[in-house]
Amino acid sequence: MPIEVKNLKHIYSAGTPFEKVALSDISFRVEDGEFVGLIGHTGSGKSTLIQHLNGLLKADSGEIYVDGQNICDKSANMKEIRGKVGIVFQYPEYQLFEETVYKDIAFGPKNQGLSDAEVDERVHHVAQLVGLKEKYLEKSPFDLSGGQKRRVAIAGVLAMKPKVLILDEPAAGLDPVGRDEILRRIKDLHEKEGITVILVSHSMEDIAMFAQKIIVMSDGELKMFDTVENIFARSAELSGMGLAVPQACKVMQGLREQGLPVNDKIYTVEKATEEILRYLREVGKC
Amino acid sequence: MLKDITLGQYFPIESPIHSLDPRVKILLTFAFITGVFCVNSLWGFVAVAIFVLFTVFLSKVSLVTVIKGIKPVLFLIVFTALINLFMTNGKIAQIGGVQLRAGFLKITEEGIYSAVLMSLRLMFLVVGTSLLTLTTSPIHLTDGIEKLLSPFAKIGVPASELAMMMTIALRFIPTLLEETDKIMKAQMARGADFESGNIINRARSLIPVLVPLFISSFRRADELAVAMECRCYRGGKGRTRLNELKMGIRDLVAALTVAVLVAAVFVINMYL
Amino acid sequence: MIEIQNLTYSYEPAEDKVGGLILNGINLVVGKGEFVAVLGRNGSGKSTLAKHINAILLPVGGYVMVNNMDTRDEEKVWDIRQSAAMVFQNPDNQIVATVVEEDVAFAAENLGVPSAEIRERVDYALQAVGMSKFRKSAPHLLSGGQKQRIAIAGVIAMKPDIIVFDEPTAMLDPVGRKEVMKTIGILNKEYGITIVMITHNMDEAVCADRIVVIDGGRIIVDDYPRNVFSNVDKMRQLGLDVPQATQIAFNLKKAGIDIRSDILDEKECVEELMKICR
Repeated sequence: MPIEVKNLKHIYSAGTPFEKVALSDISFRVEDGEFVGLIGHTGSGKSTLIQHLNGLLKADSGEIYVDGQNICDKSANMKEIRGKVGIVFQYPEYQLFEETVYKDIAFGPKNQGLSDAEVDERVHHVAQLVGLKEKYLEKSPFDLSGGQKRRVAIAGVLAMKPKVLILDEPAAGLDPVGRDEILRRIKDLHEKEGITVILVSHSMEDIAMFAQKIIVMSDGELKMFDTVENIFARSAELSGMGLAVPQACKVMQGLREQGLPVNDKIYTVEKATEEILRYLREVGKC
Repeated sequence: MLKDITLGQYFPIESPIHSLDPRVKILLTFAFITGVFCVNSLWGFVAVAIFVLFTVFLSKVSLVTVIKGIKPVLFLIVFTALINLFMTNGKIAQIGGVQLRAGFLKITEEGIYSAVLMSLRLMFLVVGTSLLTLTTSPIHLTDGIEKLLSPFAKIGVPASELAMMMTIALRFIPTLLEETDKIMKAQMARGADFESGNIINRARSLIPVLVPLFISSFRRADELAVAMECRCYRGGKGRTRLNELKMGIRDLVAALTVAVLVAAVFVINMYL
Repeated sequence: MIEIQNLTYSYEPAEDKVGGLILNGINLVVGKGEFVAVLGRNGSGKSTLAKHINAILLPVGGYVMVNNMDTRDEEKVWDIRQSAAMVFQNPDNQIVATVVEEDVAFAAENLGVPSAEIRERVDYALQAVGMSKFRKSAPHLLSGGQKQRIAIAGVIAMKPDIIVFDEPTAMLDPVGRKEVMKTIGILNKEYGITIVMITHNMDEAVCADRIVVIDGGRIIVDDYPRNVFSNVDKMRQLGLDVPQATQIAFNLKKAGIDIRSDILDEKECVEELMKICR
């Protein structure tokens, strides 16, 4: 299900002294089944942008097409759109409220008006997708560990069967193991369930690992939208916007600056190791 | 955005009224309120009006802003005026020989008089108190209340703790507003609907917002308590302040002015 | 100076089974002016350890001494908290007042410092964190990194010898992280404050003089950053990251390249590789 944004504009507190252009003239298109990273420093407009994609915020001008339907239309059915485009906000565990994990996950599908049998089927399905054991379903979500709570919260959004899943810093506050676990689950969702994913993150390392394309935002504008390697090749521009490329990328660029003919469009540890080894073999140093 | 809202109605400018000691301002506001309650003639309100206009002028807050403060209580003022207008016994008022009377409703001359007096009284009360909040920052207000209550600490009034609670409440209002907004959006993204349905359904639809909000407030309170302990907070005893309140000549002048007003009100009441 | 001897802690003191111990025999000495990073997974006990240093939690077994004061000594509690300050993860939940300078003054006010001196201390503290410009601002309008610097200024006003940071950058964006890490570095190098910093961000731990790794309530590693990170397999096994540059060097070494394995950042990595190529 493609998402197309055309000339989107949003102004906060229009007509008051606090007026601030949050988004100006944003246009892009995310294809069905893509994994897109969205980066930008705080205040760059990325949160404002994602909240437009399921109608939580209203555009001041411009159009947003989800599945060919303009969601800026007054007649658009918001409930249906929010079922199609799921958003997992930052620290989503803070939105849990039900007595049991099961009920909390069921909140979304129930709002969609599904029958009990369908809701039940979905709850069990998504619990498995995020790696929650059955025994947790009847527990109170507040008795779980931080990482587990977050999985419950993500399951709660997945239970609405979104075709597009937007995640805002899903790994924030987790330790490396928790982070890898969550990110791996998201990758599985993308690959096995065919969900289109938009991943908002400050961590270039995380985005580099999974995304196919990257959107770079700064000062309410879309500065870049391209494949991962093309984006990281513009590291000088990125650091000008307060963003940094992954360290692996910096190593390759550093070698290139020193005059080594290595490929510097590389952004993961594994690829970097391979490329350095390839070069060293070529020049006979190993 | 929610966090841009201003707290209370404080007007952050500098003026002789702004720089008065908050304790003096609070006490004088009470004196003013008492004075306004004692006024029983239109002449008395002329004196009050002169005082208020003079104060507004000194405070550099625009008159329009001050008058806007009446808006939220306008309904109350009109309601009180109507009650007075219709419910006061006395001589039926006449316009061009026509008696103002319809069924059980009647308007008396005394009714008109007391409706006018009551409306003026309420209006000046609101203007007086909003002048206090317009020219005193919440912190100063809290400091003032704390200091005024401190003599009662001996009989067990926890003045300093109350002031600390007020400060923390003020500090966390924007944070909690922002948090409410976030949680509402998260639940709306899960299909929650806060806008349609009858009152009961709407109230019920707030549960998914209120529960997380309470839980997070408790968590915040807990963390804040530990952080405060780490910064050696142990109640009000032995605390000093960065900005100690000091009274000056200015405060004396203000007090005298209000005293003159109150005296004038009493004189007018007695002789006019 | 901090001296921790055979420290054990459990949230349920009644049960003395070993499995319930959050901290299980911690021995640690931190000297004056040191910068120690404490690493560990969530639930490893690192935050619990931090809270022992200023007597927020008291040992179940063993003892903690701060500047030769025992944290179990009730009379010394406020002296200990003044000497060993603490900064937490969420700046929002540490800031008390509605104006920056009032908040920075809070601790000094609690200590009963005279007004004139509080003013001096507030100026000094705001200067130390580079936030003097914002003295009259409302905290809720500042960025995350700025708020955290205000929280730091708030403890500096107590003139502590030690500051314990409990994941000070976990909730911040990269810009905020940089600001806070720079501030911590300045406090350590220029103001001579002893730093104990809990984190699971490896790029930040690299800045420390010494790294302590906690797992299951015990200290597993206590060494220089270089030695700690060069042991990539062990770090992985403990569920921790190493910087990507270190990882690349480690992978190359595994593949038979003769390269130093104690590399900490991209500069060193490039330098070493250039040496090999020449």
